[in-house]
Amino acid sequence: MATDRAVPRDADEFGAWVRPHLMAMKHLAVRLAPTGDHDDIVQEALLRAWLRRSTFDPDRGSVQTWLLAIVTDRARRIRRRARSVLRLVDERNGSVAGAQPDPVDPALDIAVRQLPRRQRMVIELYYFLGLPVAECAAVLGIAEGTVKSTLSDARSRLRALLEVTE
Amino acid sequence: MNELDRRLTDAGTRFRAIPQALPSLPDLDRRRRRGWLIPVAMTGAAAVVAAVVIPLVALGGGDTARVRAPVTNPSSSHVPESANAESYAVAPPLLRAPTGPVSLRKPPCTPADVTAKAATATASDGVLGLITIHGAGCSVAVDPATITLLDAAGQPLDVAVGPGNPTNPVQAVRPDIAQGVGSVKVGFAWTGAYCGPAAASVRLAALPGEQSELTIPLTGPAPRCAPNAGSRLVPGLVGSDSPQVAVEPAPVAWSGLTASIEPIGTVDQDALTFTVVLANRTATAIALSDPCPRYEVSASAPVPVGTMSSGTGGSLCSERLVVPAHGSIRIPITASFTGATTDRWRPGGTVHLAWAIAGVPTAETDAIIAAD
Repeated sequence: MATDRAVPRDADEFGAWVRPHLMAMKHLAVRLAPTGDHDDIVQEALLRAWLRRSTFDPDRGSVQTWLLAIVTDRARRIRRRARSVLRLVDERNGSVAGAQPDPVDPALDIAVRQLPRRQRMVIELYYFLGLPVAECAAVLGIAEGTVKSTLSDARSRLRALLEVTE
Repeated sequence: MNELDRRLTDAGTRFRAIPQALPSLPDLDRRRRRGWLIPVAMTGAAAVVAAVVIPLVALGGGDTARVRAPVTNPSSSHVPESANAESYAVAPPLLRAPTGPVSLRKPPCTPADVTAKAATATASDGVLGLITIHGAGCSVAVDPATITLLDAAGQPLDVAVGPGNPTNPVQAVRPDIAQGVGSVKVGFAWTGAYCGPAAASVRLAALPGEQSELTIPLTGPAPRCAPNAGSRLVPGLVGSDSPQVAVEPAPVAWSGLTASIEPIGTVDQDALTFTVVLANRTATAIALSDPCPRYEVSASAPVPVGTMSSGTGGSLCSERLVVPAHGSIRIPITASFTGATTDRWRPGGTVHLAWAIAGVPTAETDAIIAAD
C-alpha cells in the first residue's frame, strides 16, 4: 500500500496515493480556473505528479500539499495559455464554453480575484479549501509567519474592496 | 471573528459543500512511451492481449534521458537566436508499435467547447505551422490529413499537399491518446516559395459529426515569394503530449544524416550512458535547429520470459546543433530507466539499445548489462 513515505512505483499504487486528495485538487482548480478548465487542470496536475513522483519529498510536506502545489502551478500555466488563445464561439447560441459555477458570494468572489496573487492564494487555500496555516505554507513554499501576515494584508485589502467596516 | 472573517469562512464552507464530480485519474497508460515494457517474444493472440494489458501494470515511469554538451568533429556552428523554439520541434519516431485502442475518457467536443489558435514561424525552407486545439472537458478528434490553407475569402490556396521525408517516419499517434488532457497539437510544414494570396486561416476536421470542421485564424509569415514559385504543404501529426512533444514532419535535408551509437562495453541498469554520432554524408551543413528534433531511446533486454523493452526520450532543441558538411557531431546521452523494467534485467545479459530521430535511420547497438 502506498503511503506518504513510499513513492508509488506503478499506476495502481499511484491511484491509491492520490485518490484521497482528488477532491481538494478539484476544489482548488475550480477556484483558480479562469473559464471552467478545472478538469483539465486536475488532469494535467495528475499527469505531472505521475511523471515527477520521484521528486516528492515527505520531509517538505504531505502528499496533499505537494499535489496542491502542482495544481497551483498548472492553473497558472493554463491561465497564461488561455490569454493568448482565440476563443471560438458557438454560432448557434453565441455561448462560450467553460462557465464557472455560480459563486456563493459573488461580490466577495470578485474582490478575491482582484487581490495580488500571493494574497489571493492564501485566501483560497485558507478559507476556500479550509487548510491550516502550516499546510498553506507548504503549498506555497513560504513560512507560516508569511502566510499569517499575507492573510492579514489580504483581509485589509478585501475590506477596502468590499467597503466593509468593522 | 469579525464580519469579513465570518463572510470568508461562510463562503468557503458553502463552496466546499457544493457537490462536485470526483475527478477521474488520467489514462496513465498513454505515458507508455516514457517507460513501458512489452514482451516482444510473444506472438499472435497472446501478443494482442499482452499489448493491451501489460502497460497498465508495468509502467516504469520516471524514465528520463538527457544530453550532455555535444562534441563536434570537425566543427559545429550555432544557428541564430531566431531559431524555432521547442514548440516547433520534430516528434521522434515510435520505436515500438502503439498499443490500444483506449476509450475516450471525455465526451466529444462541440464548437462551443473548444479554443484554438494557429501560427506559423519561419524555417529554413518555408514556414512551420502549429495548430493548438483545446477542448474544455471534452475530446477532440483531429484528422491532420485534412489541413487546408484558406485565403481571406475562405477559398483554398493553390498549395500542393505532399509527403515529407519518408525516412524513419514518425508514426501517427492515435488522437484519442492526445485528447486525454483535452489538448491537441497538429503541425504542418509549408515549404518552398509562394507568391499567391495570403493565408488567412487554416481549416481541418477536428470535431465529430456534421460540424466536424474548424476554421482557425492563422497568424505568422508565409514562405518567401520567388520566381518559379512552388510550395508544398506537409501535414504533421497529432501530438501525444502537451506542450512539449512536437508535431512537425522531418525536413528532407535530414535524410543526408546517418546515426550510429559508439561501441559500449557494459551498461548499468539504472543509467545507460552512450554516445550517438550523427554524420553528414552531404556537401551541405545540416541544421538540427530549424526545426529541432526530439529523440527516442529504447532499451530491450531478455527477462525470464520473453524480452522487455523500455522507452524514454528527450530533445536536442537547446543545443542548436549543425552537422558540418562531410563531418559529424558526437552527442553524449544518459538515459535512466527506473522501475520495473531494469529490475528484471539479468546482470551479464545483453541489452539492445536504439536511438532515433525522425528522418534519419535508427541507430542500434548491443551492450552487456553490468553486474550489481
